Amino acid sequence: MSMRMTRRRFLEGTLALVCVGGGYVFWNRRQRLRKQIREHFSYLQLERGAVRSFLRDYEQANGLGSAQTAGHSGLARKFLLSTDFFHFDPDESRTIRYSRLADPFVNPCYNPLASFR
Amino acid sequence: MTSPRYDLILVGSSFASSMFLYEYLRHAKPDARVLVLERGALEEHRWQVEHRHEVHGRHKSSFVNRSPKGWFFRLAFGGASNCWWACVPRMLPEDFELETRYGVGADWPLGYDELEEYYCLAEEIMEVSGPSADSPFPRSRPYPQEPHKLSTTDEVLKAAYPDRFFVQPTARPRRTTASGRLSCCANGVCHHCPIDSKFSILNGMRELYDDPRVEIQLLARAETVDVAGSHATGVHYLQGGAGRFARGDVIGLGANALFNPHLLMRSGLDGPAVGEGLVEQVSVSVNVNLDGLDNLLGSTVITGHGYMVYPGEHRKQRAAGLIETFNYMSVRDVRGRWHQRMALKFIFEDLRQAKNRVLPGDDKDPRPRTLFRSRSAYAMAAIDALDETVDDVLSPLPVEDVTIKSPNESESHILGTAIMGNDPETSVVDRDLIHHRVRNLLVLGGSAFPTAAPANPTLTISALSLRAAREMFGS
Repeated sequence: MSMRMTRRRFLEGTLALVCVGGGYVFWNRRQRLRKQIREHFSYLQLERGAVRSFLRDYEQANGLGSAQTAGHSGLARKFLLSTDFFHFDPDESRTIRYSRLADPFVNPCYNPLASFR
Repeated sequence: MTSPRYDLILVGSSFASSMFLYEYLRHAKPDARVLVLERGALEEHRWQVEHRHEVHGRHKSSFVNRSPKGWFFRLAFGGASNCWWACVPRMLPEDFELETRYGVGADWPLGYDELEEYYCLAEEIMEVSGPSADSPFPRSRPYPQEPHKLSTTDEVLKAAYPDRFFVQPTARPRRTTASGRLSCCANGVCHHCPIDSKFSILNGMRELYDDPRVEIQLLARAETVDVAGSHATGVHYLQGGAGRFARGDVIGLGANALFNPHLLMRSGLDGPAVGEGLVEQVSVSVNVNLDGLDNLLGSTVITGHGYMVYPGEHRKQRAAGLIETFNYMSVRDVRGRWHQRMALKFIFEDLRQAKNRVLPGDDKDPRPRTLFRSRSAYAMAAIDALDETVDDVLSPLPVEDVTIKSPNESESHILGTAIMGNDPETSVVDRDLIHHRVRNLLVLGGSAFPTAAPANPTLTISALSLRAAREMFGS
């Protein structure tokens, strides 16, 4: 039995290709972003999954794709603030864990730089 | 149909009106009737936080800006209290005598001592946190709350300038207030404080509007004050597309310094001083990288107040400035030197100039228009000297480099368009904020300021309104 290329099938196929291609581009950029942040802090020991968790929460708060349009330095600094790096005296030899997104509208009273006592 | 009659009609529900209402209700008879006309909606705090991107900039369509700068404010129940950062310094005694002491600007028709009691009252209403024992202003009572904690760089400045550097007084509470506002947790987004910590009319004075004597009409835009001879008889307002009229024995305009003069002009109460002298302080943000000194550990977003270039003889030549030190949650992107940076803001006074003004709209477009040609040479002299000023002021700190930004677009402190004074030829209201000619009409708020001192004006606006209400009953 031969498959005939109808107009409908052609459009469905094109749409599927666009979705797969778009998804790949998005995934690829996300991978690149993770790599960039990890490289930015190459002198730190980041817990596995820390950058992924940060990017997930960041985009949940700011919209899908927002991390890709954010400035690199700003994103990197926000990542570091979102880890437990500043919970203690910054210690580069310690494994750094993701804590919570440093965003006042998501975690209003999370500020590892302030002191209230 | 007869129009309803009220003992008091207030236009606006921000600090100017709400503080007046607070004191008015303490003295008013049990069957008094008060009408408050608010052109904005009542937007609950949670709604404001969730819709913060929509709210921002919404005010711009309410006036025509013919200025090279912006004018920021909020149109909603509670007005500016929704978006302010709750900084509440008093003006210095010398700010009330600018002309006498320094030969520039104007004197106020009342002095610091006459306002001191009302400053205290306003601080109590807002449950202000501040440094009672170490304050730049003479005080008769302590602040309701203990001061916030300075940051590490503030501590260095405090040691270097013991009489010129202080903890900032603020209505961002140091501890949970008696009224239930949570302590400030330095999240740095006070314009939409996510935990509703800073004082606002919504969270601090809302009960005034539940008083059975008070009726509030929302989305009600005052159009004109009806005046017969030297007596105001009521207010025409628009609500839901329909024109309405309310009669009032006393009328208080508590809108901002764009809309107060506009209402006066539309009501035929124009004169040489009405709308003239539109002014704001000029602020400049400064970022500093430090060499070997960390900046952290403050307990609120703006921790310090520097008076190093505020009082003094330099005010004869150039504007005084107030310095704010910030405690933002941000780090420097330099390995091992994360905290070696600081952010400051220099806020300079400006002088009223006749060429800067609010103009009335016309039949085609009735919105007020701002015409702002330039800042004064007096303010610009301070801005021009800022490089040198920053070097001097920060000399106790190990500064690596400094970035001085362009002046900010607006300080959200619009002032000076219906000023108080003793001379009806050059001012609009008297020292009690009563219109010189129409003696049952008060013009409250920042429009009455004859000068624009560096201090944030809200506490002074509040104190003036409290005083005006009490004086009205006293007389």
